[in-house]
Amino acid sequence: MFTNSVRPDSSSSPQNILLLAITRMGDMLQASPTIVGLKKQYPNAKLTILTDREFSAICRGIPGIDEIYEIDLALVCRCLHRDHDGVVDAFEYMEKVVEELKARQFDFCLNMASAGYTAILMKMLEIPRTSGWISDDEGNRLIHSPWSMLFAAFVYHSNRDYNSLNLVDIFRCSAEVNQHPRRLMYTVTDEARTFNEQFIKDLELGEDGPLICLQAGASQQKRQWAPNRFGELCRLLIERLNARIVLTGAKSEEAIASAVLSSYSHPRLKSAVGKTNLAQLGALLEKADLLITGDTGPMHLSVAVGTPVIAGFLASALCYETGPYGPGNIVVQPQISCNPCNPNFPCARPDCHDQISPELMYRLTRLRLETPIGQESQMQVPTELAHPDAVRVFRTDFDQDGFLEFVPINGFGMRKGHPEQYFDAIRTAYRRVWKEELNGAPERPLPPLVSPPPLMVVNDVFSSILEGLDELTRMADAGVGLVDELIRLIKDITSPPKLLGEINMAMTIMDRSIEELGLSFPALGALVRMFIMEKENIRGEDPLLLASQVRSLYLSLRKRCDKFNRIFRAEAFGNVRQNHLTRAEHVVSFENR
Amino acid sequence: MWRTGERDLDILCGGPSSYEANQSSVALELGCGVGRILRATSFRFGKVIGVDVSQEAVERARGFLADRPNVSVLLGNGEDLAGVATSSVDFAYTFAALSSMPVDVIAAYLSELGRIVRPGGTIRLQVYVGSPQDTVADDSIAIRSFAQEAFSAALAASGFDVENYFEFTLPFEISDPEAGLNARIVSARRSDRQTAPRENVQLLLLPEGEAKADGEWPGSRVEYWMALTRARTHLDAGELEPAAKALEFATAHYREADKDVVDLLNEIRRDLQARQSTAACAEPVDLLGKNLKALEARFPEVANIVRGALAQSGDSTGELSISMTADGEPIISAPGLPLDHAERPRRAAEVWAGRTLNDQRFNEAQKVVCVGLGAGYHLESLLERRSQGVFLFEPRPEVLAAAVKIRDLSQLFSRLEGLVCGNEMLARSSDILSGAYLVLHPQTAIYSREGVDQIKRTISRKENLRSLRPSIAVVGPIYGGSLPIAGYVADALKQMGQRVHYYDLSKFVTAYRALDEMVKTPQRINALQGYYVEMLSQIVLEGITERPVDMVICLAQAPLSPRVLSELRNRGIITAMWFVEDCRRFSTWRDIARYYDYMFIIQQGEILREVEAAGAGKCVYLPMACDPNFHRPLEVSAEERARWGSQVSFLGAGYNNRQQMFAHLARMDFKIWGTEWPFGAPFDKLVQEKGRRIDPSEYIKIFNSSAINLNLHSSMERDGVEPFGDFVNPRTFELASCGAFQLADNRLLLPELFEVGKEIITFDDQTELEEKIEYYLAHPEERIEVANRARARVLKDHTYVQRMEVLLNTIYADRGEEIRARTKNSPWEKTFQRSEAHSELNEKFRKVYERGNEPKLEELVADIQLGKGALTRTEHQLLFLHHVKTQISYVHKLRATGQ
Repeated sequence: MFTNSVRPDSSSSPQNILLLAITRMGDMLQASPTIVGLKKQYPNAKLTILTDREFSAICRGIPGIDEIYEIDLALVCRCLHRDHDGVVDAFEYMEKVVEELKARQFDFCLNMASAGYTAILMKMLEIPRTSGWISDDEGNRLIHSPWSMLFAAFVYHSNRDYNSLNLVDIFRCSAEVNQHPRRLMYTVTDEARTFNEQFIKDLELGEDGPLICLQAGASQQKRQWAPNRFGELCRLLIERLNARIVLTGAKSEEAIASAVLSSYSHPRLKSAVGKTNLAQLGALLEKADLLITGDTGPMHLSVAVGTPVIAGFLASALCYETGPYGPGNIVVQPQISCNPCNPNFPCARPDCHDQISPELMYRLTRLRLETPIGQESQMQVPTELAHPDAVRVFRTDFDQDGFLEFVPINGFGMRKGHPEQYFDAIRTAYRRVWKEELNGAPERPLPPLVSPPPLMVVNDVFSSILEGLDELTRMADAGVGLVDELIRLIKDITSPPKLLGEINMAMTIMDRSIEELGLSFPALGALVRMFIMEKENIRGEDPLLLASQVRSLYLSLRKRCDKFNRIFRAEAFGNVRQNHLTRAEHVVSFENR
Repeated sequence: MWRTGERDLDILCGGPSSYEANQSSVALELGCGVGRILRATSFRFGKVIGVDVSQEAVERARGFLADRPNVSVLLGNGEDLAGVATSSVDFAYTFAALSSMPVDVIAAYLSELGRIVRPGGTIRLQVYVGSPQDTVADDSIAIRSFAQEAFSAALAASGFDVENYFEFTLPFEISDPEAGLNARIVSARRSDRQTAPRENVQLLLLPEGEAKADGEWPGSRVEYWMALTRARTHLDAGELEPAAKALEFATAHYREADKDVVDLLNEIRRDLQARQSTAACAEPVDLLGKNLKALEARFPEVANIVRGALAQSGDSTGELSISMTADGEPIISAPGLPLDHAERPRRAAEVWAGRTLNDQRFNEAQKVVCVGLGAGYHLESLLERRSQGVFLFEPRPEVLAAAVKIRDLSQLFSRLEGLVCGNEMLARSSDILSGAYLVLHPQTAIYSREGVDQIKRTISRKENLRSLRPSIAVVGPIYGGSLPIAGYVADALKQMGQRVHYYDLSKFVTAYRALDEMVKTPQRINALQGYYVEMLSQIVLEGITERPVDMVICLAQAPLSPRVLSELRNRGIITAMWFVEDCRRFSTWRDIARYYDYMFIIQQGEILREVEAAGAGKCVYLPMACDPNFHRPLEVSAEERARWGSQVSFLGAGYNNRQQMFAHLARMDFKIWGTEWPFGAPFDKLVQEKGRRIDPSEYIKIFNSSAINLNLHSSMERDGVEPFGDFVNPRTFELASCGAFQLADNRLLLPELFEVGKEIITFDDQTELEEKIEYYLAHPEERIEVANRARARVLKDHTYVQRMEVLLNTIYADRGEEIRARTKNSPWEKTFQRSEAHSELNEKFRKVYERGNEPKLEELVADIQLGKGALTRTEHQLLFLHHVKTQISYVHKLRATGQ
């Protein structure tokens, strides 16, 4: 169950750990492998989780937590909206919270949240070792651990598209957890199971047929599939599979549930929306054969109770980031130039919804139900059903290092004018660069530097990234040269201050050029972003020490460029010929559709 | 008066089931007085009837409301509403009247209301509920309070269904829950029921009835206030005797009667006495030598002043006369005004001293200043009770000179801690008196009103300026001469540590000016400008809604519409206008004065009364000034001097008189700066930089680079110097503040601002101007001397800071307590209190407060974000809260919009 990979360097074992996870239900569940892993790694350590009162219920089902400290952010907001003395009330409340937390004398804190206030809270708690966002003395956000930096780099919208590391693994690695259960964890209580037995009976769905849960609501409207599509899917499932279907969701999602029910009604389709608490929902999902959902909290809960999911990742949702963490799930990611979109803006025309049909979802459901557990690698989806130009279908699995991966099961198409392999090659390159460079996996021998095949049209497609890589490598080399000169000047006490100033200026210009390169070559954005963040994180007084830290950053940028280059070329050019064939076939099959 | 009437009518019509008036309805006010509320009522109802039992009040109300044809005011008989037809009234109300009536009268009126109000009609009565008070039947001042159930029962018996009792607030205390006095408005609707006889109603109200005999009564602050309100009503009606009665009630029954009330009472008494008294003459006794000796020993400076006054008047006492009472006590009288009690001055002084002693503040004060001596009876009585820390300020040396002739005051002088005589000495000695508690000799308060005002200002000035911190909005014009002044005013207030928010509307000038590019018809342009002003007014109003203020100070031409000014007043905001224009030439003040509680103008004399007559609450002379931080001597480079400098210069617009006079100076090294000059000779040569508008920052370069700066006040009518020009323009002060030499035309008000000939050189006509230019060009050292003296003078007396001190002190003197009360009720008070335990947070709140902003997290965080260096724990915590607030609001917004 647990995987063993390289144990990262760390100082003495923490005894008293605080996890900051003031976020949503799904995020909390996504932290569960880290929590369980930490407990496994440090069995004697006390593990406290700090969470918003609104989300504390979910924590009670996550194994390995010794204490849940609830912070009432709603109360804080109510006080603050009163202004005047309300500000003082909020201030005093937070003062109490900080004092109570400090009194617990934590020796390690992992901030798993990305909100700015958690960084400041981390600072106020004055815990000796931290990971994740923290605020510095002047209130600026800093990140100490490289994995947390990676998280920040991929939060950056334009970099998202090139990431294939799941957030669960990123969290896990930022806590230096390498032994972990390969799934999310949630314990269903017997009480909830008992409730659920009766509950399902009362729904009178019938005795036979697969029990399928369906989560129609999502956190954002644009990530919510249309009710009539869900209705149609239900019709297919009931008529063809004799399925028993239960709509799940919170009370706030009653509107969409009733819209689904009004578009299709059948005695085997019932709603549990708003009728179960979190624990009871867990029991319901545990009992089900399958959950059909978007990227939602119940999706994670389902995985956590061991029930596979079929998940459609719409709008801003990206399966690589937040897909179901566990083997054998099926996810669908629409292929449309705007997907994944910016999570901060609404969408009036969610065209990505049209890429997924009820028929496809029905067929995937059938595929999952009919494939025995353990034989998921046999699952394939014909392109006639799900054309890779329109939608990508993946099954989830774990790679050799214990990281979640998404294995395409409907072939490769074209995307944004590039063959899909181009993006996959970038993702694969990044995946390995970060795993190895950030101590998440052992370093393995690199493939030889493959040259692109001569006279190929695809050359143009790939040439820009290769040019960018060459330039970035040269810049890293130049950076090393500048630092060497700087070190020489620092050591030579006779060197004029003017020269030092000039070198510093040259380095500033160099870093600015590197930053601009990252923007000009979006695919290299994450490499550059990491470099910038690591550079911003350098602190100290001794100029020589500072210079040597900067030097090692340029060197590691150089090394990452080289590694990225080799893996990318091997991945991309190894598949190029095949890609061209597939491309031709696609055109034909597309026209025949 | 009308303003509070509006307010109180709003209160009456408001409440949980607010009453919608309409033009076809008939309203009746019971106890309408001089018609304070009736006026407001007359605008909302078709027909309005006022009833009052005071003949004088009714007559005055009829006079006041002669312009309101739908109002009729009836003289009541205190028993019924005989003149009003049955079921003829839709809405009847009473405010601050019913609860002072004896119970049997209240019962009678309730019963009568039942008769006159039509079924379905509404009554709104301001009453007191809580516990019944021990009142006596013939007392028309004490407050009646009833058990709420009893009052409801009485209303029910009168045919009304009670809807609710609701609370309301006024700018002063109106309830005293501990005493069982809770001010409420009762709202009731007339049912179809018959009304019970008034005897039954009375039994329901107060079964045991009211006592007939007088007795001990403890008094409460609310009743005290109510008595004052009644006195005020009587004073408004010109009824001195009932006013005095009400005030006597207040001072006698309430232990801590305010000083002002006692003084007012004494004033009224004196007035009444003055009406009755006849001047009686007696032989003055010569005690001069003894008194002067005693005075010389203790207060030599005052002795000199008195000798000076004696020398001037010789044997006479000027307009003062000396007389003897029947008991042979000498008293001093001004024409028509005895300065002591005309019959029993000792007894009156005793009573006055006794009252004064009852004031707690008197006993707690370290220093007490008695203002006014009269013949000395009052002060003697006071000194008998308190021998330490008593000072005397007598504003008029002639009074002291008269007193030392007729009474032996040597003992009195020896017991005084200090003595200041005359306003000049006061100006020099203000420090001795600062922080003192003031007691007014009542007659002096009348006879030397200005002197009293001056010492009040002197003493309260520092204290009020230090302790009162209202939030002030300064509103300037869109453009024009008063625009920079608005900025100077705001800066001065800030320098004084006041909490100021400056609404700089000059940002809107481009669009305003663009209006007449789009439209050409003058009427249309006017209409558009009106809309634009209305919009700017609304912008200011919205700003003030967002960050509330206690006071708005507007500069002339500030674009605030009557609607918005009225709204500001409705919110209890004090409105002040500094009309820095020639009131005689620009009469716009006539239209706006009534919207301002205070008008400050730059002219003196009859015009002050005219502005008040136009409706301004109070009009005060406030001359122009300078801002020494801005108007200052500059080091001018040779290059700048070449551009800006000349032997003679003038800065200003090309008014007719300037054109006429300056044309003669064409052959001098003379530069003219400014707009609206003619194009032809000689101005084509004299006017600089194509007659463009010059910025204030450029003014000072011109002032500092010119040997002689001409300052000719504008006139459109004359060809030269305005012969009776009175006000002094800002340029006079600005030039002086820059240390620049100026030749200014003579102004009537100039001599009291500058010593002419020494601090400023003036001219009366063309010849004198040219002679003086020639003379002073030849005598640069004299120019420097005059300029230095002028600068010293403006720094001492004529800065915007000093003007704002006068302005604020004028307002504080009248409204200080109100501002104090507002501040106490503002969210700040609670915020400071709550944050006391967190010194850094408290300090941060204080900074926000000083800026005149509201106690909001965003304001606290704005300071942190602007700061540098490591954050403190408190700052981290505030930043945390700020992030939480914005982040969670953002999430809620996302959820709300369904994204």
